[in-house]
Amino acid sequence: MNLGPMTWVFLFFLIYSAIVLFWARQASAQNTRQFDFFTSGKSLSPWMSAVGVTGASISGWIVLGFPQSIASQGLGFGVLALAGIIVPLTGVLFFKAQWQIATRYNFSTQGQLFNGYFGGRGIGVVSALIAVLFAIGFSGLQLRAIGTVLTELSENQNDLPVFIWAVAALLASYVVIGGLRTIGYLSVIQTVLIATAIAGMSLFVLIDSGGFSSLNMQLAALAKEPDSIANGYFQIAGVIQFTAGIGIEAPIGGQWTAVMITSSALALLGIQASPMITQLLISTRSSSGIAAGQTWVFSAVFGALIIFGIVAVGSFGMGKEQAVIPSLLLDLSAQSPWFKATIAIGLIAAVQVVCGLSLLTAAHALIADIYVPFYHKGLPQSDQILYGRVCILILLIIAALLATLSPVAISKLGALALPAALQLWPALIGLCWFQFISRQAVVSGLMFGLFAVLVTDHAGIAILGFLGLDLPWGRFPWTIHSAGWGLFVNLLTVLIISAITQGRGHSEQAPDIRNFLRKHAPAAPRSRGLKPAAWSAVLAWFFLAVGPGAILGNQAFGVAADGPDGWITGMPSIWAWIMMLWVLGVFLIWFLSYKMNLATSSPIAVTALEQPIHPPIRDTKIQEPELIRFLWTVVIATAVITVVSWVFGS
Amino acid sequence: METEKKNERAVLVFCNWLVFGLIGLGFLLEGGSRENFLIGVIGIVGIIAGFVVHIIINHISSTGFTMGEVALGLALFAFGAVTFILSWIIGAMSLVAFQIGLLQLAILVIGFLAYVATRYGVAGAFRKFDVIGTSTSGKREP
Repeated sequence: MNLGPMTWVFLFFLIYSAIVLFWARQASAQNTRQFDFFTSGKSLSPWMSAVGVTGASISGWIVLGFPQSIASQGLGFGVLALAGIIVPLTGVLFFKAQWQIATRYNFSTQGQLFNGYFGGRGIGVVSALIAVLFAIGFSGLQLRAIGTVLTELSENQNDLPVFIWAVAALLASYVVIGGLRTIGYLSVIQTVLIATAIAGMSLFVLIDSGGFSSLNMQLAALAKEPDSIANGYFQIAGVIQFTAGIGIEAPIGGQWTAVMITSSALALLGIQASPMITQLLISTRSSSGIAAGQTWVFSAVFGALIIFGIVAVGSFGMGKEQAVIPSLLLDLSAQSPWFKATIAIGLIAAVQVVCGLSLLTAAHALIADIYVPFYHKGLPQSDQILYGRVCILILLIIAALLATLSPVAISKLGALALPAALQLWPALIGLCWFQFISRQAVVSGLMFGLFAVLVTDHAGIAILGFLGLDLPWGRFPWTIHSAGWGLFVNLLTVLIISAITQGRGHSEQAPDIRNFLRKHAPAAPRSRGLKPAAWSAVLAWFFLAVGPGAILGNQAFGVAADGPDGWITGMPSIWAWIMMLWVLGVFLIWFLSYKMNLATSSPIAVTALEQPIHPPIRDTKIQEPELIRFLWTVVIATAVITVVSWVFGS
Repeated sequence: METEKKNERAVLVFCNWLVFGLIGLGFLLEGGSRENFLIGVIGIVGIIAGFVVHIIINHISSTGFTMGEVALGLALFAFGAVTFILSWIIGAMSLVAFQIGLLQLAILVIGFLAYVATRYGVAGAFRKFDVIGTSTSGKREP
């Protein structure tokens, strides 16, 4: 490794590692009961959980991914910087009820929540598989991203595996030692480091370009170039384009049509529906931090950092060939290596905050939702923790191996994570709000929805191509993100099947859970007109911010090609438009959280049932027939896939 | 629950110093390397902000500085002072870096004295360090 340009990064990484291991030790000492490892004894402080949820939702995915995507795809993609409003919306709608049910009935995974309410075990299995997708695909993708940035900084391409495995090794050590409590403590520190990194990067962008006005002058010069419109740098490329999809037919003026933005915004809704965020949420001792976390920490503070900082960094990189973050940090290398190191540590923290949580969640879900109920009933808690630790290591090794050796595969897998998590929305709606949705509907919806996601995204198209079936469409046909296709098919299935299966699609405890939720339901707003007004505001905001109305932003504050003279706000119209909608969005989240009481804690205390409603344990032996049946299924499936790909594949 | 609260406070302290400490240190080094007094002063302000936030955290959690924090703080102060003096003696420091370092050390000393004086009173603060006049039982000799 070329240590020269990395001396300060190495030094700061040592300090960061010492802090991380210190907290792993502290948390481990506090894990006095066995089940503390996976849920921290459900005693995590509400403010920690609020900050941690924000950090894990943003992660390296936004900090590393968004600036580069804005730089290469323009401010059309930049509309998704409204993530500061879109992402917490899921939390506002579902967090409170999930926490209440999990606390009352002592559920410790998202799968148990679903199984406890809907009955059966199928939804829990799907939830566990989505958790694994996050642990391998999403984490692997981020490990690859941080490895690439650090490699660029070290100016030696051979260092990539060293950086990926160094970050992974530190991650493994603290997750395996202290479990969720370490993740909870560290998520606060890591989130603060993320904020510092975003603020630092945007500050240096402004210094480098000579101030905000100069940055906009550079953008104005770029807007006058004929390619800028074709590249979609400064505007949304229409409402929809009926193209066959990326890889087959490129949309004109960039892929960021209004419909593409809407469907990608749906993918953003997936992050807080994922099992990993639920895991952190239900390990919290009180729901009192949800409203403040979603409104002030996420929407206001991090929303501002994204809408100003991340977009500024991305805009700075527009029209340049080099990757924006590495080139920015390399500029800092010569004069201010200590600031480069501070930002680099923030980026590492951004990756680790989500990797640690997703690995632990996946390991816990595999043990609690699949292995124990299907293959080893009555497995003692101590063994569950041991198996969980082994699972964490195996998942991390797979993720790091894929990140090191197979960047294409990991990017395809990682891209599936958010659309897949979004498919849990109907299940969450059924659990938290509408009794109408039945188990059969949720299971069928999940299956069809996930299939639709698969065949409209890279991964599924590649798999089918491998088996010899070349689809006539590419990725995101009709400029609709796979998340949008999946949710559309999913909801359609759920509505039809629910209507058919009314009255027989819930567990025995479901009426009790429904009564409990009704008792703790949000207090009705004082004015009768407030409720319809709130939902109208949500729809209006969605229409203008990420729906077809977003196209108004193209010219609302001036025509892009006119430059600063024609830009009313001194910046590109679309950027000013999303800033305006961010302000309105913060107000919207506050209104839903506090005024509609969707995220404020219930005045009635939630106490845990003395007799949890988990299915009874029948025996303590490993269920050999089930295990053998599973192994035979895997063998036959592998054989069929091999034969099909040999006969039909290219 | 007591340990939980202690840990929550400690997490806040870590966050505080990771932000203000790193930023302060960065600007101090930046000021020294660029020979720009103003940038160095920003670093000093960063360190002071770290202390102020630390005191606010102490106030919120109804505690003072822990023994470990005091020990670490004094050790870092001693390390900084020794490094500063050695650099000055061997002449490895520019005039601006010298001024920044001197100002930093002076502010830390004055800030420390002001803190103990406001917290314990002048006489009380003196008694904290009055080893000779204090018996082993902790009571003042007649």
